[in-house]
Amino acid sequence: MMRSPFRPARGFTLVELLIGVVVATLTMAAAITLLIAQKRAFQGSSADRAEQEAGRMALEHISDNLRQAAYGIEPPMVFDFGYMANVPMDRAPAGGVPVNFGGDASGKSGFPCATPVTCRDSIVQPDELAFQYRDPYFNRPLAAATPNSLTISLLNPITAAAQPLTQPIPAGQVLQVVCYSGDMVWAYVTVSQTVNPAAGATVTIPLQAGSNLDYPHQNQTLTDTCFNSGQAAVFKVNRFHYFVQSYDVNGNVVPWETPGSRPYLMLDQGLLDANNNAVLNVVAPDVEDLQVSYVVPLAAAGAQLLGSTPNVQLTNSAGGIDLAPALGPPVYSTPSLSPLRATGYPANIRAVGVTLVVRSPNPDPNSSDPTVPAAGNRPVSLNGQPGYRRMLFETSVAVPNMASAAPYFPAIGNGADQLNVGGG
Amino acid sequence: MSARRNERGTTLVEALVAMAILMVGAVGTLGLHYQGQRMELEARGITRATAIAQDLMSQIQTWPYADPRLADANAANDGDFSDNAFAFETQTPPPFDHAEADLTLNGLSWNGIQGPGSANPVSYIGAPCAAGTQSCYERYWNVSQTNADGSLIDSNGNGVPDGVHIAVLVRWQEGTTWHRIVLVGFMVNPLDTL
Repeated sequence: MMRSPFRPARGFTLVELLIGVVVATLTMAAAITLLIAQKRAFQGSSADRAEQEAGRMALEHISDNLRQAAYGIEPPMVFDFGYMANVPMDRAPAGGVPVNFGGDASGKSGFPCATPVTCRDSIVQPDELAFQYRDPYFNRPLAAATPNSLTISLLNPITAAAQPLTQPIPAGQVLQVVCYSGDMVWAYVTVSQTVNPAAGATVTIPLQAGSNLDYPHQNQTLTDTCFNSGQAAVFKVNRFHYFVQSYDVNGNVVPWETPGSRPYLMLDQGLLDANNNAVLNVVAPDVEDLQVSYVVPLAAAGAQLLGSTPNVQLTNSAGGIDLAPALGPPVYSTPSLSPLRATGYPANIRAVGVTLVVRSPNPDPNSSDPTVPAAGNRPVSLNGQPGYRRMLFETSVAVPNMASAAPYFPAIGNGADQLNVGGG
Repeated sequence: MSARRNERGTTLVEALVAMAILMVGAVGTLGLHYQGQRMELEARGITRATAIAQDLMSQIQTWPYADPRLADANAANDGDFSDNAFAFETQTPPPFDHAEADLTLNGLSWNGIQGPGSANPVSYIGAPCAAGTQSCYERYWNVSQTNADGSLIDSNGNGVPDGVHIAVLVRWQEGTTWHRIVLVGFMVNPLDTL
């Protein structure tokens, strides 16, 4: 039969249409499933990547600096557990001068601490870690003028071959001033106003006022004639205060695990901005917990880890960090096997355990798990923000400079290389 | 008639074939994600193993030289204490001087990352890890008083070793393959006078 010339190409039958719809639906369903799987895989891997990156960054930042702890600094003054009176300084010629370390009554120095020792340790939330070392890359001769108690001057440029000061010295920076003539005497002072690089034969550094007994405000010591000998150098002391701080969406500091907040590993180096506010740096985002423990040699048990037993707070006594041991604090000349070295005094710390809990940047909408894994002496917490993936990073770092048996100062030179390591 | 035929659209079969090809491609990119995730897992393994090895090495630095945990317990590996032969990736158990159990040898205290049997073990340390267990790390350390050629480490020739070579090895499994991190250190003998 001939097709009618008036009939155009025929349409679909109902059956064809149904088959088409079913096939299209199946294909779309498969495609959407695939898309969702893709998205989940992408989110999962980007969360993993972010967690790992934050964890590695935080761990490396802390351990790199911790490994240098105590370089060029008296061991009792390296780890800051808050106010500690009568810290020995083997400072010739007087010898054994005790100073106060870790903050004075006016709160001018040291990092914030409500109660010594326990301010750095918590069993319900993150710990803090505070320590210092001498900057190995800064060495400037002191100008040959008697420093008064409120300013010191650096030679600038040091020699014809050397460069003048190129980086600002920020307010709050602690300086170690050492003189080399006769008996070695040294003092710690604090910059009161940021000093910018400028042309001229010298650079004048204004200092915070303070008492000779308080670290780092030993301005009176600078009147020693030894500092007028032209044989004196200035070093920087780098301070580190690591802590976890949570911020809400508006950038306000809020208590740990406040719903909707994001935790960061922060670093305070004791430096001040133009308005005299503390300069805080972010080390890594999404670090939910920092737990710290300390290895201290003890005569009977070999070595003991302080700050690690769950539910037990680090205490300011023989059972924990001991800021005033009954036997007295060790000094440089104390033999390594002396009982004075087998106490919980901060100078006896030989290694530091660091545990970090890092979480994903965003919660997984399919999870409501609020578990923050146990770390250090903080037991498992079910009060975390729900749905985040969490990862635990743990290591310990030896602090070999803490075993120094003598103050170490590099040979006095023209400072051309700017270094103070390598000795002479 | 033939003029109209040129204007017709795609047939259902053509559309299905196209979709099928698209799906194969899309599934292929999904495979890429899984590959990426596997590599991330491996990177995490390396990060964690390095932290574990660093922990052990840092703790060893706080031990006295005469500590029984620094005895050369397996002289057979002295020539290759840092395992250049990859024995820690092929042998079970590997040729070690000291393993997990020795951390508390003679009742000594272990202050690093806590392993199985301790009051607060960390879940990812095994001693040893059961075959095929993922995210489980084994730690070992080798001690050697000799140089690679078998001679005593004694630069001043007084017959007393200058110190010991220490290698910390941490190994873990990816699939069925062992991976490992090696850290090498040296401890000076305080009884050797230079």
